Amino acid sequence: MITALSRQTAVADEAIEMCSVRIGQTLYGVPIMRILEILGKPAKQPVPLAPRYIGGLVHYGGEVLTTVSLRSLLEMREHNAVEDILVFEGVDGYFGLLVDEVDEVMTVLPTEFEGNPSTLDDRRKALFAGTYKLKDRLLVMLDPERLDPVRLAETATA
Amino acid sequence: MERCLTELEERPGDHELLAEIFRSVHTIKGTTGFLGFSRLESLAHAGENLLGLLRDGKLTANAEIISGLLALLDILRGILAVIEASGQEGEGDDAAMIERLQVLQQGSAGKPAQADQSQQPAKKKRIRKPKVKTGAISVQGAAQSAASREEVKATEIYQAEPQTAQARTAVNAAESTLRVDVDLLNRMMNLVGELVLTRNQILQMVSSDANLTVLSRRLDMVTADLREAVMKARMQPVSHVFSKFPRMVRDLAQQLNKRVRLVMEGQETELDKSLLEAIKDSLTHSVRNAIDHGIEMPQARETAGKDAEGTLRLRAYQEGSHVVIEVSDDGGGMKVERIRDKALERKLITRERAAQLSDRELMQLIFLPGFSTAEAITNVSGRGVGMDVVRTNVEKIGGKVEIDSRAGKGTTLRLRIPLTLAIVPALIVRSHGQSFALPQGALFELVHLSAEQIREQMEWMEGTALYRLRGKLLPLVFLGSLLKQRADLDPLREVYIAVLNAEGRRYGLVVDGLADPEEIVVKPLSSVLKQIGLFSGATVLGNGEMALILDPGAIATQANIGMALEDDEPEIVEANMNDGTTEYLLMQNDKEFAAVPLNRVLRIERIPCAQMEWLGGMPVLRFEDTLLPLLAQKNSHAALSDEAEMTVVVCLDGERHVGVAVDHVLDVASGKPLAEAGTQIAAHDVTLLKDNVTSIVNLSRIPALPRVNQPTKVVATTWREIEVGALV
Repeated sequence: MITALSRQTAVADEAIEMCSVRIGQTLYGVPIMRILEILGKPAKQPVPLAPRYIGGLVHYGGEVLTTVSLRSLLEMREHNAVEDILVFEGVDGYFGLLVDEVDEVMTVLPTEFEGNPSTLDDRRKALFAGTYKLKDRLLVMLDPERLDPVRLAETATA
Repeated sequence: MERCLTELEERPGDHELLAEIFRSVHTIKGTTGFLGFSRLESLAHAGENLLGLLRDGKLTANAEIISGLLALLDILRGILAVIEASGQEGEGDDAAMIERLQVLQQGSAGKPAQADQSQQPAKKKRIRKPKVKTGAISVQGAAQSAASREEVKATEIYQAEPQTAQARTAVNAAESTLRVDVDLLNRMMNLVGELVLTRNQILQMVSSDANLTVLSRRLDMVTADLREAVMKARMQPVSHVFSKFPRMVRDLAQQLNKRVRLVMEGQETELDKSLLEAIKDSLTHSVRNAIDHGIEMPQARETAGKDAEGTLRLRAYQEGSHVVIEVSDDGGGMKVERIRDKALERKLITRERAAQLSDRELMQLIFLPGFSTAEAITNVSGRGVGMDVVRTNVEKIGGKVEIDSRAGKGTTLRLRIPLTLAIVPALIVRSHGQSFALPQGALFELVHLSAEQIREQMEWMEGTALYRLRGKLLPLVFLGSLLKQRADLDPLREVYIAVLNAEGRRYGLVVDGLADPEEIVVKPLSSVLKQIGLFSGATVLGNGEMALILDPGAIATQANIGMALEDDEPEIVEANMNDGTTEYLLMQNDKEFAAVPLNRVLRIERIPCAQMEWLGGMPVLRFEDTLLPLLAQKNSHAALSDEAEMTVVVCLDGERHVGVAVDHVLDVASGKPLAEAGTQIAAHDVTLLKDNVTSIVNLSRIPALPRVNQPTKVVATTWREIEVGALV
């Protein structure tokens, strides 16, 4: 799956490469260009007293990576299975995003994009960038910038 | 250039020095004019004029002139910083500075210059000429018309001189050295840490294959060497910090009307860059203190029969795995009475306690927060934040501060700093199934409580847990509940109390379990997690598990632990490092005192006397599957009832562990050997502790257990070596 990421480089100019990840039944998409690395089910260490959306610490290339749990951000029940981690570059160094599973790489067209529906609750509106209409389902767009723990800490205190 | 100027003050007649300074200023002027920085240029020009007079002998450098030039240097530096940040010179009025320099030029030009009036006016002309020319170029700025080409040539020749001179000395260094980004070094350090972890895992797995074992051993060695090499790359000579002191000392001395000579030694001693940064402020503060409080006014010094000029000595040297930086002055020394009075006045200590303290112990009081003997708050010192900050900063990086002072002779402050910061010895503690690292620096001892002992010995006062440690109440902080891992103590489990001293605040941290001590590599936490405030970082343990590093100071603050002002046991220990005395743990048995060298003590346990068992007429203690040979006083064990408790001091004798059973452990004290009257020979096994003649327990006389197959090895490995002695 990870090797698939590097294979698909030459696509039509307007097509965007998305890495799709699954949380529960929903499919989310993250632009591939933003992902530094995908860590397959590493051991993570919980941090006592940390904000709820912090998923724990993960050892990453000699550094300590702070991870954000998308499940707790969406106020979903935590599950105990090991999770995959997407690594992003944030304001304050790298951070990781915990997802149930990394699915596949797909290409989407800008024409398929639509913004967040107005009926979506505020919490989700703040996290999602919009959605791509795939043939048979929706791909909810995640914006790594909005998931940066520094940013989340700001919005939590505000 | 700063260095040159301070040197110039010492040797006002040194022509070479003057020429060097002149060249620097001139180069600044030339380049800044060329680049169109007019503020810099006009300032440099004013300075150059003054320097020109100095160099030509028209003026003699005096303190006033040097001060002016140093002030000019500061302004130039300020502007340079602005340029670096914004690319612009920034706004500012330099008229006052320029005028000051001009006044210096004229004001003092009259008198000393008269004598030199006859001195070759031709020479003067020749030197001033190119200056005028460079001024002309800069006015024309970057336009560089063809007409000025000739003059450009002139300046180039003029400037070529200093450049070649500098280049010559730099050429050797340039060939063999390279500038490296600190980030790159940090990254290398991380990768090496990674390699160490991978190596550890490989080493655990290869035991079966002989070939692989050989290979992995080589990997082991290469990794260790590589780690050392990378660490070395992070080292910087202390001269980076020392270099700013000549100027500072000079300014301070002048401000206080004192005369101070600065002597610096061992500037080439190297220290990790981050550590050097961390101690910079402490060192500056110590130097300020030495000048303000240490060195007396010139008149007072002369009356005391000393040279009117005081000496401040900065000395750096390596001692084992530490670098020691000494700040010593030959001033009046610390007045113990005054320290005591001040401490009493500020209620830092009780009268009873003060009466008990020795002079050395009293000196340690200056490290208490809020302590200052200065009568008035001056610009230099006396604001009550001082030595405690010095100590806190140094302790934060795992170092120690020692002070040594003799009345009338001077004071020496010693900062003892570990060679690297990146690796810290830590004890791994467990709470609720999770590992945490506790830096050894704050750890003083460990107390183990079984489920039964928890019920009996942990005392509660309105919901606050306390433990009676050698007769004193120790507030307890439960790590599990502090971290909200669980509500309260599981009544069935055993616990360990880590007795911590965080910057003078003493408390016991209750944890579920201990793992072996480890040398941990500290990794910073992201800002979100730093905000929690209890963790100073994270680390990866040898088994690949991650652990958060606990911050003992922050925990104390969070748990409202106050200063244990009367309990300065650790300071007493620090105080006596230098005079060949040994630290002893003082114990009481009935009416008799006994002592064991502190560095031999592994841990102290309180156990019911009934647990003591006898093996062939020899008392032993059983811990799980190991036996501890015991030294129990004959008279005491007869009187013991089964419910009574005894204190067992577990000591290290060579490789084996032995126990000494006593009634109480009293204190830590230092003792000097006693000589038998009329001889110079130190009496064996006797010392003078706290003015009592005390016998030292001879550990090797405790009989060994009957051996089958090196049983002592088993003892040595199963016992956790908790270093009470680590605080020495």
